Amino acid sequence: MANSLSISAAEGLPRRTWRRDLLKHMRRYPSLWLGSSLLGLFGLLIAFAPLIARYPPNQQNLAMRLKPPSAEHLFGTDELGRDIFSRVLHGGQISLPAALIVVTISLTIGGLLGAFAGFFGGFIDDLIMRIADVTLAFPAVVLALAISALLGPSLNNAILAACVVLWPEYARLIRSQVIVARTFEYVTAARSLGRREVGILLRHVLPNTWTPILIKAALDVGSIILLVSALSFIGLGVRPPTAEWGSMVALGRTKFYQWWVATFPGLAILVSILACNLISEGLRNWLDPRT
Amino acid sequence: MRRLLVVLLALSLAFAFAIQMPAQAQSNALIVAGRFTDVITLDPGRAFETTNLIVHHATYETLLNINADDLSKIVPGLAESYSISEDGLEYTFVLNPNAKFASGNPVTAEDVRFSWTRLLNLKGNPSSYLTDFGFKSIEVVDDRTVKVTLESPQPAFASVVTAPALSILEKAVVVANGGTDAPDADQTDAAKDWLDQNSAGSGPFILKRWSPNSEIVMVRNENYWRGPVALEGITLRVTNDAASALQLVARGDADIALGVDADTAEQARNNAELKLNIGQTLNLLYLGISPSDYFNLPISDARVRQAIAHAIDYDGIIALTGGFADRPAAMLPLGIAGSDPSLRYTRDLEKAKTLLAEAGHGNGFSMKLHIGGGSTAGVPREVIAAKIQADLAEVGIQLEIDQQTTANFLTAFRAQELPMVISAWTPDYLDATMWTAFFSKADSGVSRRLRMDIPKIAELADQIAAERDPMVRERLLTEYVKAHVEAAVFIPLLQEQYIDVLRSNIQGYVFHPVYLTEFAGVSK
Amino acid sequence: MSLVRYIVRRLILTIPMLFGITLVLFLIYNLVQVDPLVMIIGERAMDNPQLVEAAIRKWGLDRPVWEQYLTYLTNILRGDLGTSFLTRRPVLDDLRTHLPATVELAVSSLLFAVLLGIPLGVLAGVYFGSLFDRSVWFISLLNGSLPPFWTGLIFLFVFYYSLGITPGPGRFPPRMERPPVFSGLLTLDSLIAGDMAAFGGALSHLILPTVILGGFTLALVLRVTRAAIVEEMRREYIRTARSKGLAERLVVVRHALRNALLPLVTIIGLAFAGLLSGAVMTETVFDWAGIGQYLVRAAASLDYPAIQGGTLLIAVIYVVVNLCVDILYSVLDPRVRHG
Repeated sequence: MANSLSISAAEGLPRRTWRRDLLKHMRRYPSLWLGSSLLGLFGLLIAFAPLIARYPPNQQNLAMRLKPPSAEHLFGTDELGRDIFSRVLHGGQISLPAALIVVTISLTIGGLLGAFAGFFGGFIDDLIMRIADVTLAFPAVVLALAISALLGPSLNNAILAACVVLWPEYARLIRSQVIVARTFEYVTAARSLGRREVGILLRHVLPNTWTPILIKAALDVGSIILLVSALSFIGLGVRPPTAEWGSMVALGRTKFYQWWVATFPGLAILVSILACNLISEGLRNWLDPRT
Repeated sequence: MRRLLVVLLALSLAFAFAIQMPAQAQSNALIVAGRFTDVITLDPGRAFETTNLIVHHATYETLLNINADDLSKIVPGLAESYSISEDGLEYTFVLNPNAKFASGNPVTAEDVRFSWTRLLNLKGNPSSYLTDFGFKSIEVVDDRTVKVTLESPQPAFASVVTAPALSILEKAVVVANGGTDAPDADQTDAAKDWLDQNSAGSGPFILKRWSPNSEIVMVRNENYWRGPVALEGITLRVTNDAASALQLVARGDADIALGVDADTAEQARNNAELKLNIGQTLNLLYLGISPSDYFNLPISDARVRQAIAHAIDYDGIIALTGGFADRPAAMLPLGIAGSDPSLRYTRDLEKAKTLLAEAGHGNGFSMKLHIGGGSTAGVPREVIAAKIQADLAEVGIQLEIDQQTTANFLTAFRAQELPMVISAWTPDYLDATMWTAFFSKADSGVSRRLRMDIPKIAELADQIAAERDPMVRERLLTEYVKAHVEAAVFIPLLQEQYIDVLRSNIQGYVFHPVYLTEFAGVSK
Repeated sequence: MSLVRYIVRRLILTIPMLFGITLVLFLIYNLVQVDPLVMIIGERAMDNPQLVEAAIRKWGLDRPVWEQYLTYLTNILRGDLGTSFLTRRPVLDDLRTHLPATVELAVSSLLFAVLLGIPLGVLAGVYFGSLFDRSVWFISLLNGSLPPFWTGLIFLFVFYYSLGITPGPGRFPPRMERPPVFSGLLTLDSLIAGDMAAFGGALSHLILPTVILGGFTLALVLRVTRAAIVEEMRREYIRTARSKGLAERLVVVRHALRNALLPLVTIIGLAFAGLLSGAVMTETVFDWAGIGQYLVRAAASLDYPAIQGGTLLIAVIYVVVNLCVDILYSVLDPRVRHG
């Protein structure tokens, strides 16, 4: 190491390796890397839950009901003697993908609608943005609650409700980005070259709007995890016996003397939202240092 | 910058000071914590929920009573005696001459006529207490005597009279606040708002205030005709769940937590300041399996239903309640004459498998199990359902649990669309017909919802309703239970026990299976 | 554009918005194919055809959809939100009894967030990059990641049940006499009644839910204040002011904070949505008889009029708050009127 350093010093140029860049990047943006590794680790645990957990999530053992955490049951057992560690990991297989799906769908639908609205303006703009405004006039949890209550409790309806409340935020964000990007010189240039409007939009305008979107998307994955688990907590989300963090907290709520029943699923929600917030924060520092 | 820090510190100090726990004025009122969220109205002529029974039993009185110590005995209330005519059609009640309302006015026959006629003419849900029993007319014989005439002999009528919906209201007070017993009372009676916030009864307490979803406040009736009770008042404090009710009692912010679950109660056992009161209810949790061909499922074969009944781990289910439950053989709870526990199913997996094989389903099958929300004996529906799911899987029957909100579930259940359900039944009055009338007929009650058409059971139910000789009735009821066990359509899973947690200084508290509580004798 | 014209234009724009809100609510309502009858008249009475028919007529359930919408709209305009299936009382009355609890909690949370968030944000901004800044930043991030329904349970268990240093669930000490109802805000009513013990009682019951509900908003206020201060501190005139020899504290307070307040005003609207959303998750845990709890109960029992009415009320409150914020903002910063 010392050797190579002296060589590069001799050449008058520090030798740039990807490894050193990475380390430097990690030092400069610790929250991004902390969040990513937290989420990555969590994601791995969840993805390989069937291999890691010693018990199936729904296996009952009434002889072992409501046992505190032990070597056998890391997070203890619930009122049917099910292994909470296993249920928390399997619960992640609901919450994390659901949040990713909601953000992807909202981003796609909201993004496209917002981009068209911003790029073409006029009647399309008015129509789309008025619909978005009306949807945004409801606080998210309240509208999601009304929708999933009226459609009936299920994971799909909770996802649908979350998409309904989330898409307008992307529509609004991307619209404003597109309006700004539209005035850039290269867009004007492309237009003067006779390129088709849609082509310009897709090829030149949208790629320049991704920074704030990425920051927001990371944040929203966290918010949607919270939203879906809140709906399940209220009894409007995932149906039993499927393990889901919010409904596990709800079951543990009446068992607070057996603190482990509600504590661990709650911690899982906390850690995954925290990881998303850290990533979003890190992305902001990295990609958008102004704020 | 230092000054900013100082300001910040001062602010937080001020905040901390402002929130100092206030010294609490000690009163002799009883604070009862529980899930009293079901209250819709406190008008005895309109209310048809559960919590109102507690309030009405404390603030009003009925002509007859059934005490918790002997559920088979009807004792005098406002009426000191009653008689039934030879043909069983006329009931004559003689009022206790000492009976007085909280206002100090005597309880008269006209008050009785008014209260029951108003109940009937309001045409609300509780009017069924009278209409279901062929109530024909009520007349004032003299100041202290009323005579009720029925369309047909109804041996259960005397126990119906003990229902809080048939409480006696003071006519003058109710009329002064907009009440009426006219035939169009359902349109013209305007006393509900007043009766929601006040009472016009003769009970040991007076309703002072009801704050929806928050609390119901009652104070002592100083004019109580049997002499004022020890408690200054009762406050029913709404909590979301048993756990927070118990927190309140453990910290002394409440005196009684009503209806907590076994796991929570277990914690109270180790606390010297708390004690448990266990009450046997008549509430049944059952698994309902439709015998109808309509669903085109293996369960239309009686052997398959019997196999299911043999596959259930009943002891395991009772263990879920912490042992705070029992189980009758059929939909006739223990404690009601004729309910014979020796007839009930026990777990026998070999027998279950044999029965399934005989029916041609040796390899099992799969179907849906439908449930709503809520819990019985502290065990949520989804937990019971998961348990049944695991039990039946052992004989090859794969259940998929479909949980809906209670409203959705009941809608589908009522529409006769659910082949297998877990649901519960709670009595409103203490007579066997409270069960036999609802779990027997093809065209009415819960049996209709499951499309159950078993003539033998329906006939027995009719005979039970008309039989006046208690001995014959008991024999018929045992027949009825046997027929139900064989049909295996309704399989009782639990007969709930009610666990109340009391602070140890509370004396004289009694659980009642219909009114839930007897507060008159409580002191602290 | 003059201020008055801006306000008028903004008010007019609100009308189609409110119209859209009712349409959204009605559409969701009509997507559902569940028989609400059982909720109206109760399970056992469904066996009685007379009661069923009377209920259908009374609730207009036999009318075509468009007619139901028109009725719905007219009724709203007359202030009639229908009758709750669950409580059998006018939804408006129910909302009126439940609203003060939510307002009390929301206001106290907002105060908590602003009174704590601005000073902390200023300090963090001034000492940008310091250990203090980093810890405040992390705590606010953590705060924004807590699921309130879970935190509420933990807090109640630790601070009420185990330690006994805060009051438990509910809005008022159970053994204390409530002040006479005037505004429905228990703190305000106690003050009006001159009952300091009751005031202390009501205030003490606000602590836990306020910390949890306000925690979300606190994170938001802190972040915006800090960012604004950092931004302002970098600006030229601050350097100028500093070079003039003013004490640094004055620089911050006089220049930076005043400019930082502007973005703060705009986030109050956003914060309010967060508070109303959070109320749904917090009130249930604390037995707080407010709109959030009312909505959760209504949702669990498919009480359509209550869900519709409650959601409508919250949306209208939110729109009105945003309207006020916009107007306030345009007063503070005339540039937006031309935007």
